[in-house]
Amino acid sequence: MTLSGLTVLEAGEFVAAPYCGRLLADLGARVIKLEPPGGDISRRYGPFPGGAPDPEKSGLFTFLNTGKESVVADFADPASREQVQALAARADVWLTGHPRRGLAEQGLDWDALSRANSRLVYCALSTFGWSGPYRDRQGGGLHASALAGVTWAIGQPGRPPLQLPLAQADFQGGVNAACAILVALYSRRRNGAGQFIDVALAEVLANYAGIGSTLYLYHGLQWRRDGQRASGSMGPYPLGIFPCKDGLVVLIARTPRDWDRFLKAMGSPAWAANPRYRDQVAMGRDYPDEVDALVRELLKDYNREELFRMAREQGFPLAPLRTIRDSLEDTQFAHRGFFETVELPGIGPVKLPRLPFQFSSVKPRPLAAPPRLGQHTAAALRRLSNPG
Amino acid sequence: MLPLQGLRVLDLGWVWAGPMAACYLADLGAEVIKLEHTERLDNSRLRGAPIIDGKKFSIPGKSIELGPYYHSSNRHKLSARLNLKHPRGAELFRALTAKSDIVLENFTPGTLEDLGLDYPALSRVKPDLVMISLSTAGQTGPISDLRGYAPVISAYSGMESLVGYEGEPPTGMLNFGLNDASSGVHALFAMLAALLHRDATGQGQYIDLSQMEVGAAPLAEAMLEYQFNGTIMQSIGNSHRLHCPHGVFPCAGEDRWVALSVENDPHWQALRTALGDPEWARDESYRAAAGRLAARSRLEAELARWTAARSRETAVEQLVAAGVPATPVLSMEEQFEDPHFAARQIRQKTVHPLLGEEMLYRLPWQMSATSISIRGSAPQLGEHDDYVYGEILGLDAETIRGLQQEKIIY
Repeated sequence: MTLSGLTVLEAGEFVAAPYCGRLLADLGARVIKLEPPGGDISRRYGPFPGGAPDPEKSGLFTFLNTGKESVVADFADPASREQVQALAARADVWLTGHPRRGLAEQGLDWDALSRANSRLVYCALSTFGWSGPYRDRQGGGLHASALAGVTWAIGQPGRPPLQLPLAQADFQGGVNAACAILVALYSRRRNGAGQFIDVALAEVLANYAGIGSTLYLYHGLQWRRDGQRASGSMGPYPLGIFPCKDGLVVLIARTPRDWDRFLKAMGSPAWAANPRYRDQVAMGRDYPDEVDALVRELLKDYNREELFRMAREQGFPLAPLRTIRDSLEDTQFAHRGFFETVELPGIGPVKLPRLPFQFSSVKPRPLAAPPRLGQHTAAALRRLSNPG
Repeated sequence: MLPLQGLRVLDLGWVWAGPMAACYLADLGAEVIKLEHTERLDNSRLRGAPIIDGKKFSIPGKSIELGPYYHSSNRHKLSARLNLKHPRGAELFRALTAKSDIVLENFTPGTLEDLGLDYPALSRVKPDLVMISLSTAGQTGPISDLRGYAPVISAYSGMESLVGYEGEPPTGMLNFGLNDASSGVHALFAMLAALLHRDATGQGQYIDLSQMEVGAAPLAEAMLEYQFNGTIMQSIGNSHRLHCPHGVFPCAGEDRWVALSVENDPHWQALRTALGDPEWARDESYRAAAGRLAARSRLEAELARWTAARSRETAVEQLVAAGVPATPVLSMEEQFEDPHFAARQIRQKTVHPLLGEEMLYRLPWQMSATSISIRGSAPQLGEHDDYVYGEILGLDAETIRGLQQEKIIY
């Protein structure tokens, strides 16, 4: 497999470092997860069957840690720490989400580990990064999203701005770290040397939002929250979320062609010819509420799937706003085998998302139940005293 | 030396995710040739003009070169024109593929097949080719022909159903193309893995990326909740399933907010200290998360009273000093000015020949031994026609002019 032969030590909890480790594990890397004695905090996070906490049954932990080994290590204990250093001396990648200062005190920072292993790629994932004025601040995805300018532009005007749902900041940190690690490995083949990588969730989101915000400049629009529309409708209208008979749909009819196709599909209402509803920039800038009322009136008699079918037949961008259940039951995902069924001990079969891309000549590692806490501790220590 | 130096990439990407993924390869040193047809330009060229000194900056006839959005996702590339719909254009593309390492595209599935330029055809001229297609829903399946922008994709994947205020229908709207950005980075990961595989085995690769799957994978937590317990997760605003208080609180002034979280019991003690240990906070049951969650609305109301009496800066300063995770909620203008981001140089200055100085976001990583700095801006349309068709393909100047007149290099 693509990354087979690669050993990754993952010393990081919750989502960011584990998602990075999962991407690497899926492509064949051996990922040894170093868990604190109480286990990764995501083991306590759930969701749990029947809502009953059990560190071996957390849904979030399961998704993020399939394909890995679990080794318990207590960084506060000198003997355990020495074992970790010995593992790091032979690893290709050290991936951590732990705070900078603690790792330095424990002899697990870049300086210490790279002295013993000059080929090591050391990747630090954190909310704010390991340099700059906020480097030692605490916080997670809520804070990354707030600082990045992302939160500012989600929600209703006049009401509190909204965070991203379900640790999305952490997922983005994880995939960026995975890329940076592969770049460092690519470089290492030339000169044999590892390097230090610092990925900050706040910086990743600031980059995404900053680039996205340039879309607004042409129309002189502010980057702000605007309810169910993009900020200031992002220029031509409509672009937004609208109610229909049985839920919500997203409609993007910003070009005259898409707008015409939509109106035709809706039976060409009499107002459609009025010049007031031909100037799509003015519609977005000056009277979007008025346009919304007309669009809502058109949509109210159709359900989501009818509208989706019409949109696909007549070629305008509209999609149902789907719930999580819709997504799990979706025929497109099923057709592509996006969900892999995994038998979880004591739970039964569940569907887990696999990588969001397929390779023509490499099969990713089949998904399996995640490791039990410390399942591989003894074997890892045996290998240390018995190399080869 | 940059890590991907020596690799050549043909970039047919034309809306955010595609061009952005190719842009990262260029940042990392690959020679990325952006191929566009004059009558079907990269969408990002048509979206945005720079605002300089509060005014739109324009140069007649050059609007497609000036957009900051175009520059953001096309820096460090070369630009050549090509009409793939003409048989001779398709032939030129195959000839270029033979001399390249990667082909990237994000057309509607089937488009390249119709032109005889799909992976089976291209891998015949370049057997170890790495090719990636980024599409809305993937190359296969009942809705593989779906045309979608990021909001359509994040609605379909289920993401938007979780964006909103607690107890209300979803508000949406993810304003910043999260799904595009995430697709671009996932594509980069897949391409780098394929390159490592090619170097180890000599084997090329076709990568079929579904942007809808990119959006759905990070929703696994909610998918497992449904499978375990039959509960369909809904939006919960700024609150948190396990932590309390947690959210965005109003500060003095208009539209000023602080993001604040108590993620463990020591944070709660720190918050009490920051607040001056008021009477309401001394309730013993609040020492543990379960007690705080049970009294969430009271705690959040008290906290909002405290934050509303302070400027955002004072609130953040007092909370951080006491050891409570807290951050201001920044607008985009404030993000540009933030001292932490400035110290980490997340945006860097470069010079565009028509525009002058501009700031572009660099790859959001800090690497000790690999330079990923911004080295220049984006190319103008067809700027490298002569290099691409003359030097790479060896066509003489007269042939190139002829192809330009016939609107094949166009």
